[in-house]
Amino acid sequence: MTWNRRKFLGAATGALSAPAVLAEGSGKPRVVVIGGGAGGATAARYIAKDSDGAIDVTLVEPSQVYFSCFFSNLYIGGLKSIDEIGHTYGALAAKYGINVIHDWAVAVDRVGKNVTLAGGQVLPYDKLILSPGIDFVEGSVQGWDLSAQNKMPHAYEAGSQSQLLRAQIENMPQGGVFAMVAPPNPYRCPPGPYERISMVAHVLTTTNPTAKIIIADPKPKFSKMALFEDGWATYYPGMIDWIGEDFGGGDVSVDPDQMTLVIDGEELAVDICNVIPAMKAGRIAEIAGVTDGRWAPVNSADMSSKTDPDVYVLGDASQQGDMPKSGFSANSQAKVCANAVRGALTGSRMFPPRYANTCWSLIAVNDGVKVGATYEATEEKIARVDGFISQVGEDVTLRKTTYEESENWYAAITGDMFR
Amino acid sequence: MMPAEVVVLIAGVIYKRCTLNDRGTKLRKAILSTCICFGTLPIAEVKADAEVGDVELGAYLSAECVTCHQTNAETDGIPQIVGLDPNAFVDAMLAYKTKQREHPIMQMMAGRLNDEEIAALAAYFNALE
Ligand SMILES: Cc1cc2nc3c(=O)[nH]c(=O)nc-3n(C[C@H](O)[C@H](O)[C@H](O)COP(=O)(O)OP(=O)(O)OC[C@H]3O[C@@H](n4cnc5c(N)ncnc54)[C@H](O)[C@@H]3O)c2cc1C
Repeated sequence: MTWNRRKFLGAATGALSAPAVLAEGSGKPRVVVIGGGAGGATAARYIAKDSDGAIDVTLVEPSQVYFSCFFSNLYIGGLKSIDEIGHTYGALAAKYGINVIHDWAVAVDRVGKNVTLAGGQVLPYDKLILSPGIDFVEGSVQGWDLSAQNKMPHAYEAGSQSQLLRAQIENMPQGGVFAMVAPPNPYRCPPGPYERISMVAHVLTTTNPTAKIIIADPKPKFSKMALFEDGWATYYPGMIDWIGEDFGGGDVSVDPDQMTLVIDGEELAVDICNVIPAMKAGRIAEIAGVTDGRWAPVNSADMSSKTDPDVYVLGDASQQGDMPKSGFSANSQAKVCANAVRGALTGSRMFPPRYANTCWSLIAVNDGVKVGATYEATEEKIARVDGFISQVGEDVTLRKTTYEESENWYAAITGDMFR
Repeated sequence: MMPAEVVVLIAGVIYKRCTLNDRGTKLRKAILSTCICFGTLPIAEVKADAEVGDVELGAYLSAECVTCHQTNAETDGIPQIVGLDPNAFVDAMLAYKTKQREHPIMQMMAGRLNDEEIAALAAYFNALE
């Protein structure tokens, strides 16, 4: 399905300008991408695909398989297998010539323009793209740290954490309590925790109908709240208890050894505790020195860091304005960034940025809802232009179509990242 | 110099003759020879016409479509847009833009495309076939 667009127009116009930057020594400019997720895999693929070998693209990603967080709730709900949400990097290497290195980036020298990997290798770059996703803010949930994730999983990075949470749900005692500690804003996937609750309730309704679900939430309201609350009342009546900020949902501590959760001074024994702590940019962004507080501020025109024009930050790690931290957003930002990076390195034609997002959520089998918006780059930030959200009371056919749409979207976006 | 429309049309015809396996090379040669014969393509002058859309702009804009529209699989949900007749493509986008056709995402996406951009997308997806 690919053909070389740049050369098509390059040949047709006969007016390709000379490369703006050439890496010293090698004939080709070099791009290093850190993180092979929604932002990084897309950026690497588009730069490699559209430059047709004119740019050396290296992708650094520790995992051999990327388990997408998107649709990981459907895995927890028993609607997808773990294999269905796992993606490998073979096509990026074989089809697009990307040098995929399975390792961690541990240091960035922005003066010397190189990246050091855990294995000791040093990768020089002309342009560096960071899309490392999120890390958790230490101490944000009292009593919890990463060493407790095996007892109280976050499942907010997909893979073994999702498998653990699903296994815990399968083995929960009859009439037991599933608790979630929801995260404060801003965090990855605003409807994610609530879609998860829907999927957990979906499982428990059949396997464990007397079980209870409690959500301790530091926020006064949440994404698609009316839609979720309406769906929960319809499908899982009496099962879910949401404790928001007003009722002390932000005042929590946990004891992973005792399996207790304290909400606003009241201690509860729980069988499962899904702790989703506060989030910040993936650590390498901080190490690279491009963060300000928890996130990495970027220019809205091209996702370049406000600290360094040769470093770009995509996806969850970036602080860009109005776009939610989603896979769709990261993918959208990656394409703007790829166009800008390619333009800067090879003189290819550059186009104005344009951003969009849509987030689907599944409330029950075949009952999907969505929220979406378009965005534009302003001086100050990426600003929302227009948007829509599903409505309470839509008919079942529309909800089913919306769910099917999300399946199509999943196939398309993962293809757009990995195939 | 040949008008842009004609050059693009010729390029389009030659392109469509290229085999699936060897598109890149044949296409490049074909376009090159077209350009040698007729001069260069004045991109800025391309009109908002489905037949002569700015293919490179279309390629860039298409990145936004393919997040949801799969390019390499038959689907029974979100429709296949690769190879769509350019006029049908333009009609559909205008119907969404003017909200005569239902679909919140498509109304939103089409709503911010101008005529030149719609033509560019139409030309690009038609050329992909
Ligand atoms: C439960 C849940 C449901 C979700 N559902 C949706 C949804 O339906 N739709 C949607 O659009 N989004 C959804 N999201 C959000 C989406 O997963 C994220 O927003 C998206 O993955 C962000 O992309 P990213 O590139 O910033 O980070 P990621 O996709 O997380 O990729 C980051 C990658 O960087 C790698 N990395 C980190 N540090 C380093 C380092 N030092 N060196 C090398 N590599 C490194 C990691 O291994 C990882 O693979 C959901 C999230 C969750 C948790």
